[in-house]
Amino acid sequence: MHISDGILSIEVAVSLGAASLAFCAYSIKNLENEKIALVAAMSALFFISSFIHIPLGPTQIHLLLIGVIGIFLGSLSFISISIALLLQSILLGYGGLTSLGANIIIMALPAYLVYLINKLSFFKALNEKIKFFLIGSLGIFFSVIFLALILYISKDEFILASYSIVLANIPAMILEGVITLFLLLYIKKSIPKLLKEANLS
Amino acid sequence: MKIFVILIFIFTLSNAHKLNLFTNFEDNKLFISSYFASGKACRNCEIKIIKIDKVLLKAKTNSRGEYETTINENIFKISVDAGSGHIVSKNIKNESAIKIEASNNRIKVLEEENKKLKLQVSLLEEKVATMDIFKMIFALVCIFGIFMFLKRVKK
Repeated sequence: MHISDGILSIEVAVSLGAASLAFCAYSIKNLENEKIALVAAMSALFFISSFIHIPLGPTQIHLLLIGVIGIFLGSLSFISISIALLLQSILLGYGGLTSLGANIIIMALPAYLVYLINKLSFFKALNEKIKFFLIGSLGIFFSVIFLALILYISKDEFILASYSIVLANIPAMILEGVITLFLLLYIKKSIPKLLKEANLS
Repeated sequence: MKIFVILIFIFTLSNAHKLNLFTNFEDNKLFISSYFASGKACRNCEIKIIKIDKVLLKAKTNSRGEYETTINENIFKISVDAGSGHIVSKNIKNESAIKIEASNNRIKVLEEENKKLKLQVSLLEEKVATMDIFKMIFALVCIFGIFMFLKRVKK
């Protein structure tokens, strides 16, 4: 899911960098002292979840847990995921510094979108388990759509790749949905207060 | 002036018996043409094909001073003897065959290196796979730890 250095055109990288900077500024503006621990924990969760690779045919997919982070943090997802992405690019070589803005848009904006969807009344009316599953899979779905769009507008060579990325990530959406379902069920049992704050129970 | 004319005469006479050798070696087919400086063909002259002091072939040129044969060697020496000490020799090298042989040897060396590298890669892949399992266990423990931390914070 991470875009490496040199993949995007300068125009796309710069404009997405500026957009992500604006989102991060908005995120910092909304940051309250009580939320700092949660933001840090979610940042660590995002960073560490990338260690879990699941082989899938010729490729590998790794966990992102965008949906979980989104429902717990809302607009604060931008700052939380940005820190994790920065550390991933510096320490693990996932993505790159020049494409950091694009990666923030690809992974933090879907988290915020999941948070907004979670607020909608029709989504609240859904069965709990379906809702938990959708939180995980929708995060990946939006992320894949953004990734495909960014590649599509960046270079003509990536048009075909952008279509194939959407198809290749369908199993990842299902898998992330299932893992998020079990994770949120566990959180519901062990830390119900956290789910209440996220308007999930 | 007289000496000069005599010298030219002597040189011309001696050159008239100088033996020349023309060869063409392609696709293991050897063509030999031997002739005197006067243009006269070296008929029934003895041909020897030698490789490291070992005579591979002995033959005689035809009435046109030519000889044709097939040789499965890449480096050898041809010697044509017209008698009375008139001998000419030439070293033959099949450059393209030598190059092919050298490149074949290089390919063999590379294939052996490739085998070794493949073995190393498979060993490294095994190591990485083992490391991945530990990484995943570490990640799961960390995720569990994060939620334990959140549980304490929320209490």
